[in-house]
Amino acid sequence: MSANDILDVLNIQRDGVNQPAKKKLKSNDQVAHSRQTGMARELYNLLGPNTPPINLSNNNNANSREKLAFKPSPWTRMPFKANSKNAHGPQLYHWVKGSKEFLERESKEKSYFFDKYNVGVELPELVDEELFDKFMDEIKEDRKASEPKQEQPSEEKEEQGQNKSSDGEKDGQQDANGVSKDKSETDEGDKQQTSSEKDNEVDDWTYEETKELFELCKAFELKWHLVFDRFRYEGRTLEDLKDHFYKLCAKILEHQENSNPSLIESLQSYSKTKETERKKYLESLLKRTPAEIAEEESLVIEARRFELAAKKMLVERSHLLTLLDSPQSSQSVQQYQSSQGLANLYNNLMILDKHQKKRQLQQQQRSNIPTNQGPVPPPIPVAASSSFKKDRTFQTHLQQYLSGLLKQQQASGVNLKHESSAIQQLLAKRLTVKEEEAYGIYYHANEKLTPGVILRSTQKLPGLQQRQSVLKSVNNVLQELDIPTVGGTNWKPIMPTRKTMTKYDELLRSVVALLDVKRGKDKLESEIKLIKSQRGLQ
Amino acid sequence: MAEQRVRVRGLSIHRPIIYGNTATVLTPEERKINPSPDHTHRWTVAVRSAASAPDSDIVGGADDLSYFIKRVTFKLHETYPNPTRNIEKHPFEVSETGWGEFEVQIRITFIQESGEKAITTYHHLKLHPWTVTSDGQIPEAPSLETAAKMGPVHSWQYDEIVFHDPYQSFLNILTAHPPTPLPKIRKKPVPFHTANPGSLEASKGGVPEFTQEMEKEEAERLEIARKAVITETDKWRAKLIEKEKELELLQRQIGDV
Repeated sequence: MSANDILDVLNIQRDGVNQPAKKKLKSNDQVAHSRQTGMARELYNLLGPNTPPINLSNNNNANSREKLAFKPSPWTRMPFKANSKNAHGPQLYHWVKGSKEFLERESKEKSYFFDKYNVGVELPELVDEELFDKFMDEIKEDRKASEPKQEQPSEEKEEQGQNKSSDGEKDGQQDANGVSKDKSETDEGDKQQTSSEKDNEVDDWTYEETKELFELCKAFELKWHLVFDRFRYEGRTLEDLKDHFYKLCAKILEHQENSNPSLIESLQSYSKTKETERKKYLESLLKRTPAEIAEEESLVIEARRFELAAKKMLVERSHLLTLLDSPQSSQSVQQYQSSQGLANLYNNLMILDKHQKKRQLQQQQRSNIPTNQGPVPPPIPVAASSSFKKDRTFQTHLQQYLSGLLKQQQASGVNLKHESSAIQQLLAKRLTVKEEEAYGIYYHANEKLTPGVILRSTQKLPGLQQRQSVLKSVNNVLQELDIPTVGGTNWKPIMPTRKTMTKYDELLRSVVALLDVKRGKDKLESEIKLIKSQRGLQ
Repeated sequence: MAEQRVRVRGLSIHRPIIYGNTATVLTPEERKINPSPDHTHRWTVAVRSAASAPDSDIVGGADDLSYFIKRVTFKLHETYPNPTRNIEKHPFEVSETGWGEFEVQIRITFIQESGEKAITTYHHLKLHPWTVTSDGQIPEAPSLETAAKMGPVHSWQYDEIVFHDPYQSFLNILTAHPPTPLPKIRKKPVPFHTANPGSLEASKGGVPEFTQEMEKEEAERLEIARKAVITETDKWRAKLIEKEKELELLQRQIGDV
């Protein structure tokens, strides 16, 4: 039963246009039909003419045919040397893809693949003995010039027993080294004899010692602990070896034509004393007792606490500063004198208050969050925060006025300001009496004086705080004494300075006292007279 | 600038000044040229710094006071044209001719930074030479001829302008201009002052100068006066005690009776 059958059953007529396509499909169907049988074919038919044909046939047969044609590639077990520089290295084997003939042909041209990673350090060659002596002299001179007191090596870590097997190994390696050598002396056998007679002097390196050092360095590629371990001469510390090697290398390189100056510099920068110090320190660090460690930790904790406290204080202080940061008014109050102006002022103040409250809240929130986590970062400066900008929009007219004033005065009085700051410094450190006099300055901290300007001669002296009648008689006394009175316009002191005015004051007081005594006496006299007259009457 | 508008508490600063006049007798030739033929003297009234400039022919005026004084107003006698003379720059002085002495009102206005009110003082314009009599009577002024021979008349009053608790900015200005100190010793005549009649002789023979010696002398004179007063007081106190005892005695006698 095909789709057509169903269409027939449902009485659906296909368009004429579709007819040729149908035929074509049919022919396709025919091909598919040839392969499909039974249920598969029925299902295929149900797909209808619109669907593209699916080739359900598998190519299993073709695959199996290909498989039959596959030929496995040959693998060959090939011998190789892990280290081409080491002639005594063991013979190793590995499997390599490829036919034996091909690989054998190739291995002759190519070395072991990983051989390219086997690189040695480039070390300067040791010079001949003559040049060596010259260099040593130079080094000694340099040392004398730089540090007159050579520190004695503190540690004697020289290893005693040297085994010869290491020597042999080293020899082999050196031979294997591809680098060409133009050494004048290559006989290592002599070394043994000379080493026994070597002097133990710290600074004096013999040529033999040096030679061994250089060879060891080369052999172990500057792995200093190995070099130190293999070095057979006694009385040398690791630092001695390094120091000598670096110094000599620097000399040798200097002697060469195309040397790298930065390398020489780095070589010369090695300081033996610093190195030994560093190691000593590290050792002491390692040898700390648990008590010491605990103490150190407690100190660290203490320091952290201090830091936290300081940060907290900073936060609190900045908070306080923001509280103090209210607009300073120097504008005239005239605009606030009308009732409307007052209402304006009130509104402004309300807004400002709200802003400040908001800002405080924000800052509290800001500071609250991090406190839970640990150290508090110092708050953002007010000028940078956004809330400050908000306030500025409110303060603008006032602040603009202020800043305008500031600019004006700065522009006009720049020089003066510089001068005045110097004077303020002078004032700050409190002038001597002489200087004070020169500037006309006087500190009247104990006296209560009304601020303002006054002529010295019209100064209100405490001695003048008298009744008019008393003053009159005081003036009379003073005129008798040929002393001008203070406070009058006709009689003036000749030199009304601070000193003379205090003298005037003293004089006035004494005159007042005199007058008091006189008056007292007069009173008594009159009393006596009265009594006498009374008695006379009796 | 806000902190500049703060008064510096517990501090006062002063500037020594002198005010007064010099007067010279006009020569007959000058009198002829002068528009007012009845004028006999040429005088200059001025406010100056107390110290005199070396080799100057005027009293005081070593410093330019315009660093703290904005204006000095001299109010002359009403008979002068524009009797109120405002001087707004150094030297703060008015020169005129005249025939009579009168009281000049001197009003010193300070610069704006000071924030201080103006101060007023008076000076008696002195034209005729100083004369002193022991009995205190005012003698006849010498004739113009003799006065002309005696040379210029100087009448100067020393004073100090004291700023109590000055504003910081003003203090800065003042301290930037320390005053020239008065000379320690006397080289020129002493400025005459009516309070010290004994100085008349010393004031003759040239342009006087204010010195620190004058201050010392005055302090000494005051000290002498004070001591005199104290001895007087002691004397009177002794009398007082005497009277007290007398009174006590009398009262006891009354009590007995």
